[in-house]
Amino acid sequence: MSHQATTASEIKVLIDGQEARVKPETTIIQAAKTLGISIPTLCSHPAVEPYGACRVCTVELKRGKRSRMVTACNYPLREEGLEIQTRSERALRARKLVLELLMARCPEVKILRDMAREVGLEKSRYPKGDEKERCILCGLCVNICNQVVGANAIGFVSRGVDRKIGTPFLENSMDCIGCGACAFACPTQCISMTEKDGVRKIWDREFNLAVCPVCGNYYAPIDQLETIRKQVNLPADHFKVCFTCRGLKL
Amino acid sequence: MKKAAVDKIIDSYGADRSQIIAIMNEVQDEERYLPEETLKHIAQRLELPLAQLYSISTFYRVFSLVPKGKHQCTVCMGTACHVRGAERVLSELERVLKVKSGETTKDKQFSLDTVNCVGACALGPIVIMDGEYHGQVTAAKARNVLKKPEAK
Amino acid sequence: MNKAKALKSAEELKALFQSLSSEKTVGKIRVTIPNATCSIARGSAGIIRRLEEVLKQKKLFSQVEIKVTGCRGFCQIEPVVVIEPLNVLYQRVSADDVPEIVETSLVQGQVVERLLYPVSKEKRARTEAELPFYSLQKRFVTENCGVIDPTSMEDYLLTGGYQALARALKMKPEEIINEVEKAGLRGRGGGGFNTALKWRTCRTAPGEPKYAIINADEGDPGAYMDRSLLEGDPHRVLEGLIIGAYAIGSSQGFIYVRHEYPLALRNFRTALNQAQEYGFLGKNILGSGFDFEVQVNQGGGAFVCGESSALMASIEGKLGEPRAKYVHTVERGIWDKPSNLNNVETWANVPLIINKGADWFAQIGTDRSKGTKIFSVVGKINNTGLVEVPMGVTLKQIVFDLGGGIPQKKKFKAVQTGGPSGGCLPESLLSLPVDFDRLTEAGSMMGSGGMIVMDEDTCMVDVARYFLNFLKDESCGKCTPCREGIKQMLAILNRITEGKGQEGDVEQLEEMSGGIIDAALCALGGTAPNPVMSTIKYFRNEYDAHIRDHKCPAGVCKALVTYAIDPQKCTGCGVCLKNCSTGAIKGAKKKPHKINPKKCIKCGICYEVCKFAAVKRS
Repeated sequence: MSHQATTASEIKVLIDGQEARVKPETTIIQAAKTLGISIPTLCSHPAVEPYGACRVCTVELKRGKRSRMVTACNYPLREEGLEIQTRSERALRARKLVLELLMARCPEVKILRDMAREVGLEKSRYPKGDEKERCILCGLCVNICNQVVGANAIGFVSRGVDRKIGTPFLENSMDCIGCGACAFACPTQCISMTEKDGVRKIWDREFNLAVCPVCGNYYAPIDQLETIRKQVNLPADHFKVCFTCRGLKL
Repeated sequence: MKKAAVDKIIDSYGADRSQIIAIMNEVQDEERYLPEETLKHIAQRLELPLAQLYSISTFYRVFSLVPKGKHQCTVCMGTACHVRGAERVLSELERVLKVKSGETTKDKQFSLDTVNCVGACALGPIVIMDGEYHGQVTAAKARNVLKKPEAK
Repeated sequence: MNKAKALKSAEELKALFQSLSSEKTVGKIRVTIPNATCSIARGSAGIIRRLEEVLKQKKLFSQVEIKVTGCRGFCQIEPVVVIEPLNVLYQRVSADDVPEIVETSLVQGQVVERLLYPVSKEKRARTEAELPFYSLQKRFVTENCGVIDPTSMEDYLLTGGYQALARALKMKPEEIINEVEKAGLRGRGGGGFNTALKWRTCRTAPGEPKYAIINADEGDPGAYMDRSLLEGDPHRVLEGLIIGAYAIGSSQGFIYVRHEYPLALRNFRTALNQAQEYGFLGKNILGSGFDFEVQVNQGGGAFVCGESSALMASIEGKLGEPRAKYVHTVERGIWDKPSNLNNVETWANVPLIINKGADWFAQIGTDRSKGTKIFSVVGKINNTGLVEVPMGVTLKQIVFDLGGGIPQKKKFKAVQTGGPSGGCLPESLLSLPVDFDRLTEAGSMMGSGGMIVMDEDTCMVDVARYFLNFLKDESCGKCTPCREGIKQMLAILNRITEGKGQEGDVEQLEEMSGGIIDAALCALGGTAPNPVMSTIKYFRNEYDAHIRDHKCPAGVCKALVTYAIDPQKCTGCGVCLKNCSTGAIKGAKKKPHKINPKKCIKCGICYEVCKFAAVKRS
């Protein structure tokens, strides 16, 4: 049962024995950060709304005598008197389960092995999946494309064990602007993006890169620049010069 | 399917995004599946990003992006039917039609699917053939359910 | 037929009720024929057609009223025909029986004995009240099902319909919530949450507009009480919704109906249109100043959309993915507005509470589970159907007294309750009273009320595998523990049922369960381990038999089962040979036949068709 939001301007919460003072609605992850406590996550990113899909950041929350497991990335702190354990037996068990399952799904992804080691897990007992699989379905690529870039070029396809990331009809996505935000955000580097001779290739499409007249470097896909320019209503030659050189101009 | 016909359906729901499932359902009823061009048109009319519409069409089991067979054969796999032997009925139908559940026969005559409980448990195991409910189906009687359309 | 005129006040409603009551057709013979999904599947539509034909032929059409209704709950004996004032119930009727029924019962006023329900070898029941199936039942919520025409507003009004709404609109919203609180109503969809508390929280949550929603996505396999209510008495559910919406302060309602319930959807839509005509929906309902509209949304074949946040996402036109409910949907639901979601049966209880009062309601049931609950009793059971009993009735009473026990005198093994979130309870727990809390203590849950009875021929390991397979199919795939965890649990169960189980498998399943329950995003994943855990708890011997002995005691798991013909019993009739699709059976006429294990695909057809029980399954 969610308790009514408090009207106080600040609340106290105990995380791993340390006291943090935060504004109401602060998430556990944010509160932990103020104490220098880092809770592992895979699908969380400051630029997007917390999605709560990977479950790696599961922590144990105590309210009086009652204990509850919640995800730190999206649990809003609203009351006084809460105690959170980020590495309790139950929290570690949950984290181990998630990582062990993901390691089986993506046997060659290093970040999973590194995170697993931190919770005392060396290998996965489950049958190994496809070695080439690198996608952990964290959803960061989709969420960034939707919420930050606004291109909505990719999405989730199918559901359950068949769920994957893809373009509409698994064909070229005409909404993609080639910005590469998805590839940058991906925690396992599983989105392929290459550049050669002024052309960027991503999601099976080719994007011509704009050339800066000042320094002569390729710096961003023309499609991306045009899209942003129109979205924010900027003059036609706004992005003609690259960001570095623009900074150098008077 | 003609764009005008699709538009008529969309407009009957006020081009309301919250009715996307109902709209796609009605369109699919006409065509027996959802062709790519039709989906692109719906996305445009409802001002939905195509990626989102594609997600929706692959998330909900009721939608098919490939043409379905002339006859729809659905086996209920609810718990009550399962306990009464629904798996044996499904195996037999898969054997007779030479397709797995979720597939359509090569001659495009039959599509075989399963559904997770239609709520008619007294009649279990149930096979729904072109909308008609057949109750107390056993592995031995399974092929009879398929015979009916030709006999008509 | 009165032309519908929007009623502008409670007084006008009362006047209409009085005028309809006095108009009631006296002197006509009434023939009631349930014509809902199950009835139709068994041929009720044909019976109605035949009856109309015969009556026209005999020129009796104007003397008989044919009432087409929803189902009365006893699905096993469908199609059913009830005749009044003769006061007789005919069961398992076919269209061919109609001429005799007309001549004997309608014309001569006599009973057709062979169509009566046989209570024992000597005795036949004449009326519904005499059927053991109805003995412990208190059909309060389902009182109109099988009695009124669900597509007739007048029928509903004649039962006193919408008078609860009229009364409620004269109360203050807080008074209504207090009444529901005093009654002790808890959600009937599986959560068992305190309904009044939910309403109050929604009412006081900041934000406008507020939404009131009917969850008609009934997904638990084996549970179909919501379908029956919507098909048989949709106005009751709607009336409950309107009352609740008024109490919460909502002006916009929704119903989310699963795709697999076309008749329920149709009948509810009809009820909506009628309610609009009569002024029970729209602006200034019955002159109260309260406005309310209802939008109909359909499901797309996703069990997960029965979960409140997924359902609301689906209504918004998005994927049916659940989200964290640290901030409940009553505070931020559809389009981030306060949204109150309740199950069909929960809403259906509301007019009852307003009409009869909280005190009346609270004396039914147990300490913490008030009122009645509708259960669907299905599976290996003689009397399949829907029963409405006060909470606190025991599993034994439901399975044996009402359900009539196991067919073919087989032995009871377990009853599965609570759908994929629940568990299996063995014979030793049959004396448990059924309510929200007692079954949960034993490792299952009451859930939405589905009760699947299992016998000696049911393999409990296969049941666990079945539920995991179901959930794997229905998982939205968003969170790791559910998507990957259920997949791996299922892989283990598949190995076990294929005879490839290993020592330590059960222990690994137990270990995984804890983590999955703690880490899953929603209740689909969070309760997925329940069927596995409860079968391990109560039927460990079956797991051991599969893993250690490579045997399936119930004879279900194909890989562990062999079919063989007993030469002593085989008469050489050749029926099995004819039906064998792989030519695995060989034998000369009138000589014992033999099954070639190398060709046998274990489809079980020979076992099924042999009239001499000569085919053995081990």
